Amino acid sequence: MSVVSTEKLWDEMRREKAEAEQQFLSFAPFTMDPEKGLFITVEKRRGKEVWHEDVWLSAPFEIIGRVRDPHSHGWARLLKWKDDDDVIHQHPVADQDLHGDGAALCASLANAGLKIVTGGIRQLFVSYLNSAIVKARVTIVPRTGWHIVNDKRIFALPGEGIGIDGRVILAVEVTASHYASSGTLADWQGWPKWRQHIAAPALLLPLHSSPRF
Amino acid sequence: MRRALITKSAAAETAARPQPTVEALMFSLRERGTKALSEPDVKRRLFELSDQQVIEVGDRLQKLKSEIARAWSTEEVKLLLRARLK
Repeated sequence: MSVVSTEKLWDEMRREKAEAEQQFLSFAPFTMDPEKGLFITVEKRRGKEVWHEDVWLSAPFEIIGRVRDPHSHGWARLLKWKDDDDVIHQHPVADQDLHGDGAALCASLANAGLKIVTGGIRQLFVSYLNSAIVKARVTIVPRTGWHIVNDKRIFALPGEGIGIDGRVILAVEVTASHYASSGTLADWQGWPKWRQHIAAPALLLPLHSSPRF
Repeated sequence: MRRALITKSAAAETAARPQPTVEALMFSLRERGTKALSEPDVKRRLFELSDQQVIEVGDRLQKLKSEIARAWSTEEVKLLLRARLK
């Protein structure tokens, strides 16, 4: 039996996978060109003359998948793009941020190197994000290892989770907040919650990693 | 000095590789073939390997001697790589 170099197979398959995973989404009236970026086709009229024009909205980016927290809240779309230095950025755009005027959202994306049209027309960019239907699911976990997601135990590894559908991404790979809210201020001011969530687990730690405040 | 550096480098390389993981994976794949790729322990071990170690496993599976176990075909090695790439 002839032996094929596994290294060659590995390189080929990785390249194919990278190509297959590209998620440049186009749907009417939007076109996402992987080289030129996002355009919207608008109808223009002058008298009886009617023509269509493509208006540029942003640099190219992919929508990798839908993101949500382990409790099925905090829904977002995970975007991925390259900045002018070819540095890859991954950034979750929360659904709730699509309900504002879009200025703050576009500013934060622009800050991470995604070029977006300015002025009122940028609302069309927000419309594109809001209308994009993505089937892929992405779960962001703080680290590799065991996690409870939707009451299921999963083992998270970069790119995959055992026991969970969809892709798993480590929090360090995305530009996201490192903090999340839990409960209310009143809850946390009360002694029982503090004892239940911080002090009790800390007591289970071995002596050499005892908690310090 | 150069020899010392090479020895140190080789030692660091060896320390970085969880060789028992490679051997445990080889055993499972050799004994149970591609069916083992759906086993959680095998999946976990596969993901713990570096790219270079996965390539090494693929090469070793293709070169298995008939008195030990059946050598893997290219298609079977592709299944292994696909499982790692998921």
